[in-house]
Amino acid sequence: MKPGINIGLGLRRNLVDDFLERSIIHPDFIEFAPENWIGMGGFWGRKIKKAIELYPVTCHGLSLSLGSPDELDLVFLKKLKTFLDENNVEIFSEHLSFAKCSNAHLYDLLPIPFREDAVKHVALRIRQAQDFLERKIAIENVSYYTPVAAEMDEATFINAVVEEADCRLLLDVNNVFVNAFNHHYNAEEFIRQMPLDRVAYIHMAGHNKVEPDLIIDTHGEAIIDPVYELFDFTVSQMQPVPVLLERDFNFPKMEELQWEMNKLRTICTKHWSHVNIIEKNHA
Amino acid sequence: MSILLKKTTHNIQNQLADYCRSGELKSEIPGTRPERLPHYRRLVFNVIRNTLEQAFPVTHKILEEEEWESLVYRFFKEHDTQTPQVWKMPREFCQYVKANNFGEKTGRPYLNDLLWFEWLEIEVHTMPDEDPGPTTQNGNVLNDILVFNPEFRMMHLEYPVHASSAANAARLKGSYYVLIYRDKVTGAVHFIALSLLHAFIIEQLVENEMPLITLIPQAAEVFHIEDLEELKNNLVAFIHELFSRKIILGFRPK
Repeated sequence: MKPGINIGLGLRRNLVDDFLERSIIHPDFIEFAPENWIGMGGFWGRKIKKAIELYPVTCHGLSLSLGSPDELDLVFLKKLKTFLDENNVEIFSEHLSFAKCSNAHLYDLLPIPFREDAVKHVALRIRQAQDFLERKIAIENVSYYTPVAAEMDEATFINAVVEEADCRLLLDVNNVFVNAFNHHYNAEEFIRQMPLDRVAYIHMAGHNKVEPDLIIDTHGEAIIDPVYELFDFTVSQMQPVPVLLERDFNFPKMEELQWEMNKLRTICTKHWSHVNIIEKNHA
Repeated sequence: MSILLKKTTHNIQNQLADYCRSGELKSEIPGTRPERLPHYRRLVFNVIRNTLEQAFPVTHKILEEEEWESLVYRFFKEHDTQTPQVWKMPREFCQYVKANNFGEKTGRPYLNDLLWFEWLEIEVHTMPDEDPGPTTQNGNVLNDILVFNPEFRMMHLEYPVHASSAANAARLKGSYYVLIYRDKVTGAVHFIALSLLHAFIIEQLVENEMPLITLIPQAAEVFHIEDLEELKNNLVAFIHELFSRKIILGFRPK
């Protein structure tokens, strides 16, 4: 990834041709779930190879299930490592949640109980996965819709896991907004509590308010202004890191996605332009 | 089981996962907001249902909506999905339906074939690229070893779901062979119906890398064919068709 400000866009199958044409959207990097592409040949295999040739890549895992009570899936980890190594993936991230339990995958992100024993358990699994993959993992703060037998608050839980696992953080600003709304806490205060020096990159996305007091993290809408404002605050608190726009369905015109990336870049430039100047002077 | 995770926490996670899979809450999950739990159930179940509906559009259309929903519900509740790659999960659905004999139970004996046929189209479309090995365009159809496009699956069906509507297929129980293959250039998936003889020929040629000429006497014996010349002409014409469809890519260099 180039030095300075990098604004990326999540690569989804429906959008692949737009990424390859580069006529309307111009992300600095791309991100995709390795699970969706590992072992994929033929038509789609060729598309992803071309995309990887064109852009720096980050991968955002779905199935490692780092918070699971089950054993780590070493067979899958091996495939994952090969994929990450072969495709020069710059950053690998996963969710601070669990997606597999009682020997069955659920293919979604379930909340880990914020408990002391869970901290130790999850941190150990992250360390084991990092050792296996021979790279640091950035773990993402996930949206959750109910606490589960919590003994501590979310910020304490995240900090403890990151510290104990010696991993990096994928800071999802939309998820902070969603959780702050759903669980009635101050989003800016939460951001301040995060280990910002460990942030590998940031996620931004849209969400859906499904009930007066509940937001679901859908990635199916444009980013709303209050989330941009929280992003502005977040960026003001930290050094430059890559920023990724996620959109998983209900795709708008590509111009709108580019507009969102431009807006993210404008905010980053406001706070991080001095870094660019310093880098240029050094060069 | 992890030595660090307390049994209580482990059980709580199990409870939540079980609820998401079954929609049934046997006892309250500690420290949760009960009104929020159905959202998890809905989100998780939607992933399963959407994935299966994308994989099996024909089966989904044939079954009554209630019947489909019930089948998906049972699958998710009863089957421990093993693949970490959700797009491969439909393969497990095929296995589950077959193992539980749902086709017979619901008066749709063709169901296993239909699901498997729909899945194999996906499997062939997405399978890893395979190198056919050294290939030349110069050779003799009878005497040289033929190089097959390795990106195919051959399947045996009891019902002709590839050629008939489900209602018709149900009345045509028999023995059918289909080769599903991927065009090496475009990546598009096609299929071709085969006779038992032609399925046998492809299987033997691929497995044993032998020239067609040496296979003809063996095929004649297996299929009780006396006229070897007619058999040869039939097979040469068949091989030419496989060439035209790019199922055969050329000849193995000597």
